[in-house]
Formats: sequence, structure tokens, C-alpha cells
Amino acid sequence: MHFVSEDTGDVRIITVQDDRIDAANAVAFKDQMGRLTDDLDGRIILDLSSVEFVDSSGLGAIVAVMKVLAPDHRLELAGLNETVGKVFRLTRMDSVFAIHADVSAAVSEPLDAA
Amino acid sequence: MPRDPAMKRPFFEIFCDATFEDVRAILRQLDMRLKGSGVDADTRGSAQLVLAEAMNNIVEHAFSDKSVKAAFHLRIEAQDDGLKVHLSDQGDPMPWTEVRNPGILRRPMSPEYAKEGGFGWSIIKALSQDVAYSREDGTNHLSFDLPSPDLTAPAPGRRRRDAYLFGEDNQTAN
Repeated sequence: MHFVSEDTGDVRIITVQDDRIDAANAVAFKDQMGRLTDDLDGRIILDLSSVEFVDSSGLGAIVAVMKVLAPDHRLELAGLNETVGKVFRLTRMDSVFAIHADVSAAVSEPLDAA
Repeated sequence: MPRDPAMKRPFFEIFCDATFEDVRAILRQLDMRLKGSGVDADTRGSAQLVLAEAMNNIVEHAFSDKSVKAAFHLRIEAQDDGLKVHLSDQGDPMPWTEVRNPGILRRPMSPEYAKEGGFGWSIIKALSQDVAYSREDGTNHLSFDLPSPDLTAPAPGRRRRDAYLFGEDNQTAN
């Protein structure tokens, strides 16, 4: 899988560059996210704006990453398209993540406003 | 489920290996096909989700017996008000109780209690209609309907484009 990780101040922004997080790459997603966040020190925003589709395996992998980061860090999400947002709503997972419209909104909003 | 010889040509049909990569390729292909038929993005997203869950479930659970060829058949027929999906495979029987009564998706009490799996059947049930499963002569048959208002252009007197949202069957004139 392809990611871009960028630190801006105390915010780490990880952008997924693949167009899908699904059963075919969920394990790779989890492994690589673990490596990209093991030295995390501030906020973490996962930018999903290039992701067109997430299935339940992909969702499970994102939840797994969120649980590994908790309670020290809260995984924040940004840039979910309509279909990706639907998976989170249907499974009620929208309630456990801070979900922002896009990365710039995420960076400018305080965490609790999400 | 014996095939009806009078059945019309399918909208989409494929016989393929049961791998996650093949499922992904089919979903991409089908999405393009639906897009080309004028189906809106929201409906296509739901179709892709339900089909991903149904096909990945076959890949994950149906082939514990390695002597059986890990493959499945997907057939989709276009109807006036949506798509009729039929999936079949010769793998292990499906856990029907799970299909019938998928866990209710509840808001987790806190992030550490969030589930990482078991969403598949709940998603299928939430976004499709008339889910039916049968096993005959060692073959699993799963079928369901995906409402799709844009699949065929609505002709005058035909069912309203948004009728599927409200179940207004009395709108059908033909």
C-alpha cells in the first residue's frame, strides 16, 4: 500500500494513496499504519480523500489501528466520500471516530469540535 | 435453484476464482458497468458494498475443504426497479442462522469496545432486500435484490423513480 506521512507542528497527517481499503489489503494497511505511528507524539489525522471504497475488512483494519493508538491518541479521520461515510454510519463506527470534512478542517478545528 | 430457461440475458455475469483480488477486480468492473448505465454514485456505492461483503464472505468461509475448487458464480439481472443478484459456489454450507439474524449494530460504549469484524451480514441486510439462501446438491445459492432507481429510464405510467424508497407498489401501471 502507499501512504504519505507528513508532520505539521504536533499533527501527523497520514494520507492513504490507494483507492481502496478492503479485504485484499486490510492486513497490509494495519501493519503499515502501525509502523507509521509507532513514534507518534501529537494528533493523528488519517486522510481518506483518495480512498473510493472501504469494505467491512477495511473498516475493521481502521478500527484496529484506532484501538492500538488509544487511549494515548485518538485516530481522527478526514475526507470520507459518501460511500465510505456510509460504511461508518451503518456500523455505528461514526460514533467512535472524530470525522472531519477534510484535512484543512481537521487541522483548524479543535479535536472536540469534530 | 434451477435456472429458468426463459430468463433474460444477464446484466452482468462472471465465473471466477474465490480470491480477494478477484473480488476487487469484479467490483471495479461492475461499478464501471453501472456507471455506464447511468446509475447514480450513491446506489453504486451501496451495490459495491453489499456485493463486496457477499463475495468476500464466500472467499473467507466457503473453502475450508481444499479439494473443492475455490470459485464462485455471480449473475446479476436488471429489473425495472433494480438489480437481482445471484451468487453460487460449491464450498462449505453457509451459517444460515447468522445470515438470518446478523448481530444488531450498536454504538460501542467506548472505542476500546468497538468491534473489528462481523459487520458483513448486517451490511448486506441493511442495503439489500429479499435476501435468500439455499443449499442444493452441495451448492450454496445466495440471492438478494439491490434497489436501483436509475437503471432503466422511467417511462410514463411506470413506477415512480423514488417509489423504491417508500414501497409504493400501487404506482406500477404495467
